Formats: sequence, structure tokens, C-alpha cells
Amino acid sequence: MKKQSTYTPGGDDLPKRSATTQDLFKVPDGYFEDLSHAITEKISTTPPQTSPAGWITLPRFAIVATILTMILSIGFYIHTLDQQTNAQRVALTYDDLVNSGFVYQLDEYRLYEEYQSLVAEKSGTGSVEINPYGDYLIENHIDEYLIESEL
Amino acid sequence: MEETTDSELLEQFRTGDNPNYAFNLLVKKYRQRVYYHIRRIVIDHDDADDVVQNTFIKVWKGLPKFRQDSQLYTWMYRIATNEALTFLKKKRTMLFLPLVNVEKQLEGKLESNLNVKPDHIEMKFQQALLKLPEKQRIVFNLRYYDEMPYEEMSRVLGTSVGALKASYHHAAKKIEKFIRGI
Repeated sequence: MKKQSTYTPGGDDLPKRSATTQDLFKVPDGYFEDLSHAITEKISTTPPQTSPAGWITLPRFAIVATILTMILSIGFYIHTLDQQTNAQRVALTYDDLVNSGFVYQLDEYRLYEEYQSLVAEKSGTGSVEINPYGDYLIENHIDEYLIESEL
Repeated sequence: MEETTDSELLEQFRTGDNPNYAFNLLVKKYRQRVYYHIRRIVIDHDDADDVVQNTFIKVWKGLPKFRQDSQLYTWMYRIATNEALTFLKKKRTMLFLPLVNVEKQLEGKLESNLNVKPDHIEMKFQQALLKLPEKQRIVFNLRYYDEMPYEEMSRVLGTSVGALKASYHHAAKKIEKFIRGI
């Protein structure tokens, strides 16, 4: 089935095609002449690309570089934005704490007042009774339990 | 009449007054070899005709940029192979066919495309070839029919010589098995 090798090493031409293949496939008569005509017709309307290879490759590099720059810029922007948002979030939380009077609300006196009002509500008096002893202890930062243990 | 060498054709194409004439000589020189290479991949004549024409149009368009890093026929074979593979891929995509079905379709075309009787050993040989994976089939064809050296095949297919030798060996074994009916 296989023909003897007709390839000539070092030559720049194709090795001669195998006669087996030529006889094997059905090809219409005069096809190769028609093929040449068809190709000639087609190339007459298609100019060869005479521009150098760099003409195509340069814009490709430029496009890739532009896309990479855009991606990096967007990434950097998002990163910066995220950092800013975090900083704002911290600042807001701190401001919230200060401005909303949360620290003030944790004042012992205020807590005591709340406690008293709750006791009053429970006992049904409906009025807020201020305990002068308690006030004194709070105002002077005296620990009631410490006094009790010392006594 | 002595056949013009590739270098002479290229020289004529680049510096001559009539590049179309030089290209026509190139087409005349290679039309049959390129056609049969493609035909062995796509099997059907009409399909091969389309692919051959596209191949030569691409050669025409790319010839001014051809830098002779490789030999002209290696470059043309590479274009022809890519065009044929792209054609089969398009066919698969257009018809939503898996690889196996395209092979079956090609096998179905063998009978009407070959000059041999269905029970001829050559028919069985071609059927066995179609059982091979596409690239292995091309490797086998280039080596068996075109008798192309592995180094040249390596340039055409962009695969190492070692891999090509292994591929050819596997292909030959598979064909043998198929023909023997193992």
C-alpha cells in the first residue's frame, strides 16, 4: 500500500504526493484547472496584506496594555474606596457614640434615675423619688459595697 | 519544463511586476498536494474544495508577511491543516454534533468518495483511519501519504518530534487492530 519515500531532504519542495491517494479519491475531471481559475478570480478581488507584521501586533499590544491599565486602575480605585469606606465607618461609629450621648447615657446617675422610675412604676406611685443618699454616693463616686465591707 | 523552486516563486512574488502570476504558479505547483491533504481530513470533495480555496486565499493574503522562518510548503500545510480542522469544528458546532457523530458522517461519505469497492481492503483502511482522533489521523496521513519527515511535521503541527513519533506508532497499532478485527 505504501509507496517508496520520494522526499528529498534539504529541498524546499513538498515530497511527491502518494499516487495511492490520487487514485483513491474521486475528483471531477478538470477540477484542478477549475480550482486555479476560481482562486485566481478570488484573489483578483482580494489584495494581499502588504502591511508589515508589526502593524497588526502593535495595536494588539496597545489594546492589551490599555485593558491591563484599566483593570489595574479599577482595582486600585475599588481598593482605595474600600479603605475610605472603612475609615468613614469607624469615624461614624465613633461620632455616633459621642454625638448621640451614648457615653452620657451610661452615666451612673442616669441609670439610677431610670432604676428609680422603674421601681416607682412597679410600686404604683407613678412618681420619681430621688434618694439623697444615693445621689451623694454617685456624685462623690463612692462605692456603696466598699463602705459596707469596711464597716 | 523544470519546476520553479519555492525561493524563486517567492522572489518573483515579492519583486516581480506581476505578483498574481507568481501566485498562480504557486497554486499550480501545490494545488494537488494541498487538496489531497485537505481531502484526507474532510473526505468530501465539495468540502475539500471550499477549504482548499480558503487556504489559498489565506496564503495569498499572508504571503507578503511570510518571513521564511519555515519552508513555504510547511507554512502552507499548516494553514491547510488549520483550515480543515476549523471546518470540521464549525460543522460540529453548526449541527450540534458530538465528535463521534462527525466521524460517523465522514465514514458514511467514504463509499461515495472513494474509487474502491466497499469490500476492498483500502476501504477498510480508510474506515480505520476515521476511527483515529483527528490530530492522530493528520499525523498518520502526513507520515504515511505525504512521507513528511517528523521535523517538518513538527513545524506544521506545532508538536514535538517525540510526541509525533508516539502518535504515529499508536495510530499504526490502532489501524492494524481494526483491520485484523481484534
